[in-house]
Amino acid sequence: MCFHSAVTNLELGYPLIERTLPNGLRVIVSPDHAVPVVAVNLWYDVGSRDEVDGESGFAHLFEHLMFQGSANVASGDHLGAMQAAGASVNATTFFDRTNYFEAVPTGALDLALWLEADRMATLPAALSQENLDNQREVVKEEKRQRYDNVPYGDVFEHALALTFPPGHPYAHTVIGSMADLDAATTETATRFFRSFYQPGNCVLTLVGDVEPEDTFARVEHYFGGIPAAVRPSREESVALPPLVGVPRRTVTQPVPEGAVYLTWRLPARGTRAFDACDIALDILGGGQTSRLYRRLVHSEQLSSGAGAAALGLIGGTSFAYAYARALEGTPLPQLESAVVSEVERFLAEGPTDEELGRSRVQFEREWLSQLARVESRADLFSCYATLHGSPDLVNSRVAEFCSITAEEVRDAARAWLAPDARAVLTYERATEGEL
Amino acid sequence: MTADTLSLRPRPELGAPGPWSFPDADVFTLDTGLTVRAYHLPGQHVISVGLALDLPLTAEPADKEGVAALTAACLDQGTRTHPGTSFADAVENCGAVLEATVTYAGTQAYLDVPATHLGTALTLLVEAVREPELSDADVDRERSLALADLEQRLANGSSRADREARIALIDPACRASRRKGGEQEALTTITGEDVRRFHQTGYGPTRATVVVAGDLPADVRQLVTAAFGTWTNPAQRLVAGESVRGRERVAVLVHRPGAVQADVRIGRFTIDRTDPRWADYQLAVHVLGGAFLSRLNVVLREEKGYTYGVHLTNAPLRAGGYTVLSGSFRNEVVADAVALAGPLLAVDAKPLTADELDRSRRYLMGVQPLQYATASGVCNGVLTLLSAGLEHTFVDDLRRRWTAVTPESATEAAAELLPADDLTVVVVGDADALEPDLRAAGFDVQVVGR
Repeated sequence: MCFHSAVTNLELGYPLIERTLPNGLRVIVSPDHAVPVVAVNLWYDVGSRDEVDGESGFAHLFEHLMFQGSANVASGDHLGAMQAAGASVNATTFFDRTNYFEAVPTGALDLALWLEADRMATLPAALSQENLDNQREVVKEEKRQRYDNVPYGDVFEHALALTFPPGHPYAHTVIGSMADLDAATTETATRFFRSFYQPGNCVLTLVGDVEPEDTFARVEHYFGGIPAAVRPSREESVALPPLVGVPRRTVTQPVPEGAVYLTWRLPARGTRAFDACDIALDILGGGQTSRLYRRLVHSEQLSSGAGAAALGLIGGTSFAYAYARALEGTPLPQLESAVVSEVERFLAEGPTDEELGRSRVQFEREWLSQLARVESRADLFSCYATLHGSPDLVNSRVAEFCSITAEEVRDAARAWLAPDARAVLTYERATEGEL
Repeated sequence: MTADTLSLRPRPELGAPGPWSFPDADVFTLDTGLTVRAYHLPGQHVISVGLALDLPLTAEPADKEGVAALTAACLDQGTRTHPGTSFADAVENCGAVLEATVTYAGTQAYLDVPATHLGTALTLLVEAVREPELSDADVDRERSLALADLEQRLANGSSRADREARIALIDPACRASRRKGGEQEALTTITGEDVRRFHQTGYGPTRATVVVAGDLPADVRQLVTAAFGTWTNPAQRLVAGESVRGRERVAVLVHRPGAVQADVRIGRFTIDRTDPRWADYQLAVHVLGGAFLSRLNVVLREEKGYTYGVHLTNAPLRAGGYTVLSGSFRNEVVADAVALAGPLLAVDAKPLTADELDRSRRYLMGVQPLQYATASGVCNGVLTLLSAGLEHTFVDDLRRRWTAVTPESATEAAAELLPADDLTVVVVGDADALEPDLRAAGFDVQVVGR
């Protein structure tokens, strides 16, 4: 089979030059002259895991405030000026990071760097109650649009709460709760900014039609005048053991079909055990050749959709889930036991050679596809520099992933994905009168 | 040196963007009539392959709408050479991902594969379109998945609103007023025999195009010719597409009980890419509702905090098209948001300015190099243009035409195509919560589904 033409030892050769400014800002440059654009990408080492009790959703709300102006930039001008320069711009918040990025025509690079430096240095100068109130409403609309007004939209809220103990950094969602969003103040925002938004807590990556020396000089020019600050400390992450006692939660909602979600705790990302579990979950539930899809959707036709995936997290413990959505008439206990029995079979047998080979070549394509875009390539360099210490790991990632053996996959699955180490979230379809 | 105190630089000027044009293609035609367009993009190690069939949905029998999408969904469910699930295994084993979808203008099969496995993947793509099994069992299963998918989509406010907007904007006599995948009634009746007949008469090399993009091997011509060269279909029948028409303005409130937010669509039937006003109109639409600081978003998001974002977009079809505002708003502000939208779109009261136009022009021209920097970007871009009856030269032509747009010409196009007093309004949300406010704001809505 063609996967035997083997991708193992596949080392990629994207150039990487890294420097750290005296104020602590890490700068990574990777030239690519294919088109006259440059991707500018900043990872701040702060995410929803850094939110304290009563402030869920704040890291994300703060991300919105970063577009509301700074000492020398008017509210909305960052996005407005960048778009008017022909750039695509956005930012996202996740458990382990907040990233800000713009892909700009090369002539707009200076402006992009200046805008990013201004908000890194001076955001509180523009913080106002009005801006905060407005963005709070925008974020609440975002929460309604993406989670509250969508069938199964609260799945992560329930699944995380089932999988992590109360108060754990990963026990709450990135979007947070309406009550906590309501409680946010400009003082919280200033404190958050002073703790996390500073050169030493940031990685800046530039990928595209640039020359390294010239680029470092430009970065130094715009960011060099920002004073260093004390980096925030974070409590050492604790690796949680697998779940015990099969915690369960059932929600009754007007969803189109009932559904079952199984969740597990996994090792932190960046470990061989996590990669091994990732492969196990891919074989169980990644796409139409996976075991869950083949059995539940294709053969037995119990389900309109079934799958499994790992969500890699850096703080000691990652998260995994498997799910199946009922086709009309399938009782949920039957669905759950079908998923459980596929997991058990995998734990007993481990992966076949064909399955492991498929997982590897599919990973290779997905990785190469991400690297095909300068924007996502820059994001991966920032990610690996921030979470795993070095952007070079991006070049060796395929080889590393493909070095995981069948035994490692089987053993990791046994250690982390055992059915009695699962939690179960069930969506019952509400009937008339239950609403 | 470490800075002890903050020192910032003055705001820099914007430099000129570098020169760019759409990548060139090596174009050739096989004896069978199939056209091949190969785009060599060094450094793009995942190759994208698209096969565009000139098979508009008007080819579907009237009582079997959805058969085109169902046929496409069954293509990877087994072939004569790779029966049953062994086909999907073969595709994934070479690192590829293969998918077929339909547009109103045609069916498209799409493949991404690492360059090292291009030959194998091309052979599999040809198998899928030439000799799919299309067994009764596969069709039955894919049909019930399509019906479940339809139900999921109708339960989603945003998908529901998109569907209702098409119904409200497009003449019901046109196929394009209904879902590409078919509505429940027709879909339920489609059999294996219907799918096999559709495949037999619809799939063939005549007027079809293969697009290959990426870091192509030197022998790409031979690889494509070897894979596709023997694909013929004497039974292939060509069908004309439709010229889509709009309908009279309506105001509809679709009941979605318990919704905490309403999905709003406001629009009008307008033009497609071949209309001489396209460049003017596209820039005008971007000023009004495409940019972050668009006239709509500045007020409804940044000033009022009514929404996560509001967008005005064009949905061009091959012949005809529509323009639609999309946004989600919490129940309490829906009527106000809908009432504000019309005046915000009124360009005769407030003509587009040269500055607004320049900003939008720089944005649309600036993001193209990035959009078309990857194999998948080029392949999908060319497929989209092919389904509109256009070639990639359209991109560079459009860039020249954008340069010539004036505030007057853009204002005139918007005033003509999007008159603020002739807009269709569709609101999907809790009718009990929304109807009184909408009526009080002057919208005589027809309530559906309560």
